[in-house]
Amino acid sequence: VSARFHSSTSTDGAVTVAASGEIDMTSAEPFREALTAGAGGGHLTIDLTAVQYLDSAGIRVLCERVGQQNVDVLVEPGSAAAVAVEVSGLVDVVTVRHPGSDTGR
Amino acid sequence: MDHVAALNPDAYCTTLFCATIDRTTGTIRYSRAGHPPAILVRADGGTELLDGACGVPLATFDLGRPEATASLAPGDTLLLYTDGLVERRGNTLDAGIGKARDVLSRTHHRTPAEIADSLAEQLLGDDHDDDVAYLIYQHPLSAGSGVTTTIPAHPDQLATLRHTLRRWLAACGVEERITHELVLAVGEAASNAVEHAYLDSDPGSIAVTLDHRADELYLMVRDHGSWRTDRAPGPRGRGLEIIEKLTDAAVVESDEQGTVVRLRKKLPL
Repeated sequence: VSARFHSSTSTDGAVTVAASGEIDMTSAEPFREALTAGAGGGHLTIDLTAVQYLDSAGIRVLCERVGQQNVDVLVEPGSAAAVAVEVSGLVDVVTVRHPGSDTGR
Repeated sequence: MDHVAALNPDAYCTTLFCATIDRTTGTIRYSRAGHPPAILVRADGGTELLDGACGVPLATFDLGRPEATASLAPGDTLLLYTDGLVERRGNTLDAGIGKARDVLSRTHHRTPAEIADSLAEQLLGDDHDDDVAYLIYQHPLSAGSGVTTTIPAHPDQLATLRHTLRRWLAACGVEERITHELVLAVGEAASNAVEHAYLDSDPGSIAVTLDHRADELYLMVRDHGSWRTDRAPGPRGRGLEIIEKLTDAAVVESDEQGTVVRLRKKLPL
């Protein structure tokens, strides 16, 4: 398995799905399932700070989710995931936050 | 060399750095006859001195000739020089060697001719009055035209391909951000090949080649499969868009044999 997903819900009902490892065509489906499981709540945070690779298969899954609910994406600046989020244009449609900062950009 | 020097009075007490390089294994065997150390620049820009095997200058005393070895990795650069390059009135030899190391760290990914120009510019000022000779050797990524890896066109192999590519790019001294960009660009091209090939009974293979020339990287992703003619191979949509944004040039060529994606990326100085 190239990627792992962990879902948690805070007391106020906000859901965070944290991914780690590499997200490509082999892990896009598990990624979709993990995000679907986190759906329904008011707010979804997708934590990609531990993701070492993200390609268009993963971006496609992110875009589907963005179309359905309010999503924050958390990436490490300069990381492979940050590069993918920037180059795909996803950076324009979601709130991308860097770890440790509360302000979006 | 001692015997030759002994026959010529002018050659008495000449200093020398003698090295032989096995281009296949990357092994350097060297011996120094009272000569300053050669400078080895690793692909990541770090420098090392080949300062072992120090003997007396030529044709002086018969104390035997020590020998030492060092290893060249793909993308490493070696500088041999006469003391005229690093010796300045009022400055120590070490200061000159340090300066040469700095220049090499900054310019080692350029062509030998460009590195030579930078060394002349930075180290040989107008007040220069000694004769200078230096020699630059760059160890190729492989003897010939780049390195190639071949994987079965299967989704599970993509991680292996990315791992190999990251290792190559590190050996070329490519910075992290550009490594992410190129791994993603190649990943997109390879994923596309896998998607098409996977539908076939014979999935075939994908070959990726990396070539490092001066300040540019050339990457080629080629798939070999038994393609159905009604299929339109080659990356499309978001995958292709990403590839084009991440590289300075991207060309996709398809025929009955399969698809070749050629990528070019300029490296910052």
